[in-house]
Amino acid sequence: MTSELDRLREQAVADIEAAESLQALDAHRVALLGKKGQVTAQLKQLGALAPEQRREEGARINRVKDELAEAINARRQALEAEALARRMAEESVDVTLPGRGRRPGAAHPITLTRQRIERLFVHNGFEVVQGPEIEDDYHNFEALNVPPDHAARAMQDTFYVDGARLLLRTHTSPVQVRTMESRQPPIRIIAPGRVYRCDSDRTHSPMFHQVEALYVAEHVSFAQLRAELQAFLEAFFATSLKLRFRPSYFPFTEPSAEVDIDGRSLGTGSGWMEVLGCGMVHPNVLEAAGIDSRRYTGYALGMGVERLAMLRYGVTDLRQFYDNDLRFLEQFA
Amino acid sequence: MKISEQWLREWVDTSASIDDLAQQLTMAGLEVDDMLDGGPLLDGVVVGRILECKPHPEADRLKLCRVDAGEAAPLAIVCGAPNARAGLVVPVARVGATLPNGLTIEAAEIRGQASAGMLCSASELGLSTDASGLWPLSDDAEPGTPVADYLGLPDRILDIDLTPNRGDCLSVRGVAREVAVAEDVALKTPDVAPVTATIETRPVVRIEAPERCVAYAARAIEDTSAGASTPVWMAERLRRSGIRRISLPVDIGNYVMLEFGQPMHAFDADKLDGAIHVRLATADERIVTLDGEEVTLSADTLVIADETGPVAIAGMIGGERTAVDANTRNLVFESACFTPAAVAGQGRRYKIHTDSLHRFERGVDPALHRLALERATQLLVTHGGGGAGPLSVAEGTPVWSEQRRIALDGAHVERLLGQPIEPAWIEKALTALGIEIQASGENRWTAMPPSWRYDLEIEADLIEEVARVYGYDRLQSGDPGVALPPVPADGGFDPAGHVAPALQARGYSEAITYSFVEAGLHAELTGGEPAVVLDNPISDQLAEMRRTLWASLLPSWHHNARRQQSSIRLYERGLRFIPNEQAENGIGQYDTLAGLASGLADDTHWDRAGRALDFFDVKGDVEALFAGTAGRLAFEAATHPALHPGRTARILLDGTAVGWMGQLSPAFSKRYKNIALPYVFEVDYEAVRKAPVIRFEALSEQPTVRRDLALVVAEAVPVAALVDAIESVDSPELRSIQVFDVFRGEGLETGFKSVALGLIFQDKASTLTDDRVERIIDRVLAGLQERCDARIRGE
Repeated sequence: MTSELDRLREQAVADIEAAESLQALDAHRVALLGKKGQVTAQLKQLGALAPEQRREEGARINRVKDELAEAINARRQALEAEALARRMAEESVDVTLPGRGRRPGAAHPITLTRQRIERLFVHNGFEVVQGPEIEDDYHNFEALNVPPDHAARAMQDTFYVDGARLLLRTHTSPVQVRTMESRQPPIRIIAPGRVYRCDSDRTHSPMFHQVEALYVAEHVSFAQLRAELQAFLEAFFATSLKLRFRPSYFPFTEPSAEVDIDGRSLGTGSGWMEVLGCGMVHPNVLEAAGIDSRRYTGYALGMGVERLAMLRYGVTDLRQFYDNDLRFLEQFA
Repeated sequence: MKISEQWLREWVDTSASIDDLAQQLTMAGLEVDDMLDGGPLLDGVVVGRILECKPHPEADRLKLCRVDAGEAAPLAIVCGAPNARAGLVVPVARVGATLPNGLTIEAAEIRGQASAGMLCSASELGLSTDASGLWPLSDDAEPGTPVADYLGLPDRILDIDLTPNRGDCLSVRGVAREVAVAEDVALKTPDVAPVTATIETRPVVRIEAPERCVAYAARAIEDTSAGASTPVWMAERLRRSGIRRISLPVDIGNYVMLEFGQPMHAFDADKLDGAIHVRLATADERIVTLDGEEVTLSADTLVIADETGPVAIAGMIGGERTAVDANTRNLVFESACFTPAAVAGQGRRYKIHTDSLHRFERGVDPALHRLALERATQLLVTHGGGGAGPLSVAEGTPVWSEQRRIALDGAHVERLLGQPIEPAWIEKALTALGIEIQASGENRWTAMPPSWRYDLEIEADLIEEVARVYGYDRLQSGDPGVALPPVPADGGFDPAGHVAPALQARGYSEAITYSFVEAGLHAELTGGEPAVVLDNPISDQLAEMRRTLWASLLPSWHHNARRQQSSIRLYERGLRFIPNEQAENGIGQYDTLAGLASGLADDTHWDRAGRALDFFDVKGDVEALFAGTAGRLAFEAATHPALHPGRTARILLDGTAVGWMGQLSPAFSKRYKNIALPYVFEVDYEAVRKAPVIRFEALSEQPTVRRDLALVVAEAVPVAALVDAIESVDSPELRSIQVFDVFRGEGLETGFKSVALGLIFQDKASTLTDDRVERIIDRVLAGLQERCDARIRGE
């Protein structure tokens, strides 16, 4: 009987090791350890033995039974691991192949620049205000202290509409006028948008973008304007800057200044770069809009978005902004 | 305005370098744009006097000259200039000299005669375009003197970009004043002694439009030598200022204008008919100008006229009839002051721009005309000979009815600049600028601007002057606190801020296109609706303000399509312009978002064939614009002149039309040959901004029940009609409807389609029983039958 159990064990171990699938292994398990299995059958035969022998033989059979259960378990784990490895090998992909879907588009660099300007001013308490692009002479010129035939009109080549009854705004300043007409100080706004001048060559576009800022309140001073601009320009270019305020002339401000950046601050060379115009709002402009110029003062500043975009992104040809060539636009995605 | 350094230094004595002067002018508001060379250095070119001039024995056109060039022995030079003659003083390029045109002078033998140098024209020296003959220098020039020394070279030319308020700086005197203030030195004014009258002729001047003519001074000069040449030093200054030489009297007029800022005009006295009238033109009166152009004048144009008719357009240009010519011996000089208002707009009207007009438009010093006329007389009598008559001066209305007085308060200086300025300093600065001041209290003054400063009108103007002289860069910078206005009603946020990122995520790039568009394309896109038209477009191609953004996006699309871009997606936000009597100024200006797409639905990929995008890809993009809002979006079949009639939808938000989408009409195939036409959309941006905010709905744990219906309906019934019919049962348990299949073909009659819909039900309070769902479905089917003649497929 002993040698029969040994043979059984030997054969069973060999079968278990040779099982190539979970099904085959399970068949062995049933054949050996199932209710009608060979080892179970051995245990059932114990009843015929003497009590002494029965205990001894029973312990041997149970050891074999445990040993085989363990072997089956080990083999199962091995087979499962193999199956998983096989499945994973089958499922593997070439991770270097391109991803699927649609490449995102890009915001226009002018918009990116305008938004950067807007965010910096909004952070400082300015409200973004819009206005019409086809304007009347009053809002674009007269209310800004530029009467008809004023020499300053020659500074801006104007597109006229409807027999000169209307015009395309030459700056976003009419938005300042409209705002001042409709509310009293404190006024703290920026007016971004499209403006038009009848001029088209390598360095002039007939349509371009401006952002103007206006702050009117009691005791607004040139010193504040300087501080605001220094802070704005340094935040915009994310670096400290050497600025130069140079006297200039705009009919709607007095005193007026142009602001130049020392090219060395931006690493663009040693010359001064003109970036924007500004000044203290002319009393005539305040009065025309119904604001008491004895009580309130204000500053205004205006900048060309294209100029700042060119400096920020290194674009050298103004016209590229309006070609809308995808090879250009998608670089900003 | 171009101004020579040497000339400027004659007016101000300063040791400052030219670079420092340029910097100071720039910082005074007179921006120096550029610094140019005054002229070539002309090494080896000296003054020479022709001692003898004989014909060349072998050549008719050549002459043999002996020239004193300051050396021990005269030089023998062969010369072909027609004006070579003994006694003439001319530039001599000696052997070894290299001229600005690159020619190096060598000792040569010309037709058998030795030639040791070259006699030069002004053109050969690079100083004029005049190549007609040798350049006659003044008789007293010392032979041997380097011509550069004689001409005052090297010199630098400051090119100043003047702002329109500073008409007073359109002269050497004006710029010198600014330098004198900056350098804190006195201005050196040349001595202009009145010229004593030696003849009695006195022009009769009548100002008949006194509001427009402040003063008119005239003076006769007789027996001056006809065709006298302009002295070299004057010609050089004119050249360095960019003024062309004409004749001695005209050159003198220009010289005095550059020197003092007073435009001048010279008439040929023998061609003038009687008195000089300063009057308005009569309607349709004509004048032929110095340029030979006939101009028809309008009645509000100020002219100078004699008894025959106009002889000049005041302050702008003279007439041909009375022009000075090579035979003029008797002339009348005009030195007048016309008001800026008198000449405003006239240049644009007649398309004439002159240096004179440029100055009058900006204001000419009303106290200058006599001085300038004396100066011009002095120069003409000196260089052209002849005798001058007495001054004839008529006066109109003064520019300022009385002395301008502007109150200046030191406290206001501090308020506007943000820092106090010493009273003594203010007084000094204003005085230096020629502004007379009287103290009117503690730190307060009354200021009287000088006659040349038209731009000083109010206190702020004076404060700018103080700041300018003080130096903008020395002024403080600081922020003592900001008065903030209240937060705007919308919080300052753009509620449609998600739109651009959504489109970018879907592959659209932003375009920025011109607001003016080509009329032909525009008309095709809008069906010829009226557009706002520009009076003066940059080109006829871009004359109309767009009614639709498609009119400018399509050219950008075409630009890319022609550059082999297989997939193009562009969007733009901007205004549309539509004539509308209800709107301000009769033009509605609407914030609009538009886009277009063509090519593949997705980027080409290695594991699937590219699919051409279609209506539903772009419809999904449009739907994404309204994501995040609670409005009910709908699309209805419609027609639009720009779009394919079977692929056009009007976009509705809560029942209101807010835009269009569809495929560009096949009619555009002719325009865009061999390119698949794009799908386009355009929506009212305000509608997106104002779309209602999402309202949160409570969640329910009750299970949902789904019932699928396969319906057969006529082809013409839109799916939206089926959905409407289902919703019309008004069942609160019906949560949503999904369209999951549309089928045509086998098993269906021609003209019919099968639409599969999934209906999702849920009762938020209790579990739905099958029985209740069945009852709702029965009502749904009845509604579908009744409204759409739809039936369950297979029944």
